[in-house]
Amino acid sequence: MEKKASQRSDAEIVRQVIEGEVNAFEHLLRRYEKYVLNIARRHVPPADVEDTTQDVFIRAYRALPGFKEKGPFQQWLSRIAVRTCYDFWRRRYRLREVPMGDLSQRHQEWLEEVLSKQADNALSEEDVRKEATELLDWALNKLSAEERMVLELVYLEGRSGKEAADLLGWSIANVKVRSFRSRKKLEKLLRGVMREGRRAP
Amino acid sequence: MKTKLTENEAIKKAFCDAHLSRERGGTGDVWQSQVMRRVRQIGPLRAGKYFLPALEQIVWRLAPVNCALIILLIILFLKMGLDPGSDVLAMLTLEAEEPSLSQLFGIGG
Repeated sequence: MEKKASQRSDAEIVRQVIEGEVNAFEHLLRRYEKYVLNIARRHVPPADVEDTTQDVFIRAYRALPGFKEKGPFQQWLSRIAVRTCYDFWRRRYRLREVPMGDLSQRHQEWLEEVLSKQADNALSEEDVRKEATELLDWALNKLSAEERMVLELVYLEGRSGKEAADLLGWSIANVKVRSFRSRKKLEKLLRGVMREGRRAP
Repeated sequence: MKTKLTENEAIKKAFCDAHLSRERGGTGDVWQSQVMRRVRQIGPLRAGKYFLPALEQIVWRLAPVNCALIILLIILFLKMGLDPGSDVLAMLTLEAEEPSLSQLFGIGG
């Protein structure tokens, strides 16, 4: 008796697709669309999330014959998703399309408030998140594509160097070096913001 | 010792929350059908076909290093005065001694 699509394992569906049942790929798409969307949302601007997610699934489809069933399909797909996001930023940086905006006085004050633990009392959770997001985006835009990805995976998502290296397809040493450099740069940027804030009348 | 801002718990927490809260954004429903349209355009996959794209990735990744090595070797050869073309020509124009069978086997005089 033929299994329903929802009962078939990822490996079974992959085998069907490779054997020529192109439409079976839609089952994998539906199963993992939210997962891939979340990865894209964490790493690329909101306006580019859908295009990036589409790219991920197209790449995954083309690469299906290379899925060797050594590990879970989800892990394999997450590697493709992270690398697609990295390629997105490499293209942006190459075309110099990364916005290099300035911060307002408000962001400088927010940083001071967070350090002096006043932010919790002064601002709502939503406002804190908004300020943090804007400051984080500003800082990330000052980093290279490589530094950005490593900072997001290691510092912001708490992944180990080994996990980040596996996702990006880099050596662990490369990840560690870039992680160190990106944190150093972020530190320098934040200190610069605070110095500007104190200098302003 | 100056405390690092990036290690400050409150700042790190705020940044991590900001990063992870991006997942809450919404998207449309059209992109899934666009993916399947592209997939159908690509058509059925062939298991053997995968080898070439994988090899291609490796070749292109090493291309800049290979180009740099080639340029370096050319400079080195020119500096060392190695000119294989003239050496080969000299070898061809030299009259080669053709030993006779008797000379080869040490027979006769």
